[in-house]
Amino acid sequence: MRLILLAALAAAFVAAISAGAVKIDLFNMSEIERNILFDVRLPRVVLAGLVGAALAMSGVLFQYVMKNPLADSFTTGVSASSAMGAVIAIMLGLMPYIPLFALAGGLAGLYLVYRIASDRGRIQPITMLLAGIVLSTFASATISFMKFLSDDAVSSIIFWLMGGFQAATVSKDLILFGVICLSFLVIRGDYLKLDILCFDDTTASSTGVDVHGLRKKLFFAAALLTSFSVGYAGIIGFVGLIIPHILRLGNFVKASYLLPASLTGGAAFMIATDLIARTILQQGQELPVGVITSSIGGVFFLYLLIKRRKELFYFN
Amino acid sequence: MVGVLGNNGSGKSTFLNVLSGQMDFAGGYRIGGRNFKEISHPESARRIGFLPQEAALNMPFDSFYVVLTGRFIHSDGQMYSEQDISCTEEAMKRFDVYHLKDRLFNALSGGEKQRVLLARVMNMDTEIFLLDEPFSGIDILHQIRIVEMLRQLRMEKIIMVVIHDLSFAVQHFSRFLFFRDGLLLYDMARDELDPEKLTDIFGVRVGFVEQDKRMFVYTEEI
Amino acid sequence: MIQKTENRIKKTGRVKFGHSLIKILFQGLLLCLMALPASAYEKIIVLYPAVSPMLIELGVSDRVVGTTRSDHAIKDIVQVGSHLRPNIELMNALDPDLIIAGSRRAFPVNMKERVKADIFYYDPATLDEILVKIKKIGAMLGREDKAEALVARLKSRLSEITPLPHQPSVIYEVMAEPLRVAGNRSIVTSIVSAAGGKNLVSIDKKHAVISTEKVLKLEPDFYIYQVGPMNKNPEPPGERPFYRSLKSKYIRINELEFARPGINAFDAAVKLNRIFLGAGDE
Repeated sequence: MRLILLAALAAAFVAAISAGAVKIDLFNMSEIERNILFDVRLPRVVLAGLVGAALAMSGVLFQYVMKNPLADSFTTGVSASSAMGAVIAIMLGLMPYIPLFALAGGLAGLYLVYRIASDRGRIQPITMLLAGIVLSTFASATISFMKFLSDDAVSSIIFWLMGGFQAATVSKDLILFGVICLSFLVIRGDYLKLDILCFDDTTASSTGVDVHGLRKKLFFAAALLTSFSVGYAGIIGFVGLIIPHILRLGNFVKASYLLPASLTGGAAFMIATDLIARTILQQGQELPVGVITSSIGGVFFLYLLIKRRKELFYFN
Repeated sequence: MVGVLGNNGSGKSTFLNVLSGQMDFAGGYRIGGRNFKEISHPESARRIGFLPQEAALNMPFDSFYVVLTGRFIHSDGQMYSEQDISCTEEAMKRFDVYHLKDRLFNALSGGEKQRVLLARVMNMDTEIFLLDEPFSGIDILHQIRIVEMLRQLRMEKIIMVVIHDLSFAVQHFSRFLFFRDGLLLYDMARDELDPEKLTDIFGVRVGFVEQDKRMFVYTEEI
Repeated sequence: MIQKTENRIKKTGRVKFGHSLIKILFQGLLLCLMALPASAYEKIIVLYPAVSPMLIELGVSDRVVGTTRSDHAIKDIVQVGSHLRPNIELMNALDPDLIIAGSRRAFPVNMKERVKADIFYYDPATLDEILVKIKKIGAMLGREDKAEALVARLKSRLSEITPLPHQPSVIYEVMAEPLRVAGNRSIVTSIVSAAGGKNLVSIDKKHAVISTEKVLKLEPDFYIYQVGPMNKNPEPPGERPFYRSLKSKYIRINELEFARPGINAFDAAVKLNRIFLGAGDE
């Protein structure tokens, strides 16, 4: 199974590198084509892969934190508050600082949710879910308000919110790669604990897992991943939700399988959807990638829900 | 092997939760000569195996893996060893759930789940076991098998079991703690059991009948 | 128009008199309703800011009773909200007889039903269409002579444009992130060709979101990027890593001068022509 995922990632990568708005003959490139490949396409494909990996992993982590298969960066409010930060940057005309504002917004939202949902250092999953939904609603309302205030920047905001990888650069790639590596290394030693965290708190704790400390750690790692992704690529829905679900149905259940697989699967999925987004229209036009993830992801997820309801049922 | 008895809400589960360190408490108690509050969290788990009254799992793990997670305290935290796996197999066989090992835990019946969870706790191989209503939902055959197994361990381990079936408890346990209204009222050995005190504790008339050197308990409303 | 309708009345009257009587009466009524204000619009609401300077030129700015909040051409006037979301109540309170709106999308039919006034849609896509619209507005407001004069002046402004030795190619950035560029239906394309250049993006839309790959492939001589409400403070293209290999000249221009299809568009064409010329000298 792992091999299949790796093969899918490799296939998506090769396809994404060889196709695009401009036809490039990989084995016989002109000067321009080489520039396009290395300055534009490669950084973009890599950013898509990294964002996909980060979103899928943050989805998995949020699901462990919340003990809820429906948790992801949306239900926790981190996405929306990151977006709010980014929209403030757009409003103020501080375009180059969008990632910074998104990060600040995401971390502020995270802190708020954490403060509301934690009681003496213990995160209460249900309270957190509610706090996240309230924060999401609040952030969306604020975004709408800002859209209303700035009629001219509206399309800029709307397009930015739909997500995309156009502004990919090597430095963004490197930073996001660093963030993913950091979170992955922090979590890597905790696979067995993550599995035990799926039991009720009493069982998990009496089995020798520091439930509350672990949850905090996961929460911060997940929020960091989400904030950076939103800052670099806008809001891209569904990845954090469907990739982990599909993997679990594919029998990646234990954390030691699920987490690495979510990185590979998320990256492959995102590279493929971005490829569609930038090649489906003529003359180099592009669709926002969020549209594709949500539609493909949504339909596929619906199929799984109907066909494999039983397995999902046993999740809980 | 100690039976913990009392009516609903009398404080049995709270008592076990406190002993296992799952609940904050005032005062203190000693375990192997050490103040329990000085024992840090992972170490307390290494000494006390606790089966809570209601367990839940929200990931589609198979039963074998559920039992295997009981070995966490013995593992290096990264991977389960060969020994952990063989211990798990043995624990599952002892609790007669080995044939369920590939089934999803959440797809099992209530009694099967309970037996798997019992196997999981016993797989922790701690010196103290605190079991909160381990027999709920388990059929008579397996109740007897399990209690026999626990009795075999009673020399090396401290086992404390919350149980409601007075008759079953009297047959198989040697020492009893009785709770009422949040207070530990009596700590009695089997031969100290007194129908009057029991009547006082449970609020029903309790009587003993001895036949063929066996003690039977009957109860009726006052 | 009045003559035409009378002709039609005569014709139909001859053919089918009885059946057409009601129709005639109805048409006559309609005609009265339409003809009366048509001769003299006195209360105008301008929902498209590019039109206001035009009305000033035509000498009818005193007839304007309301504008949008981003329109500062006419001072001390009621603002009826934004051009995308004008306030119906505010508009009705001004009791207008003419509303000049941008496109059908900005002022849809269902909104039209809620204001008792004639609607004039102003959405030219080329410089020529602007001239046509100016004449139409002049006719509607009874200022044909002034409109003619304005058109003549704008045309002569265009004659200041110097022919270029070769046609420079252009990409016009409307918005940096995501990258949106001007397409065929944008006034910018017309300005660029009037100035002697050619917009390389020939997508049949006002704006198109395109891949940055495409920009590198097209190799424009000039990369024009606008700065204004649509593109607030963009990162200068020369500093964007993915344009590292792009050899285009980057030109920063003001969105309000270039992207609005009004009188300003003619000045913009001349200005752009100068820029093309100046670049050729180097």
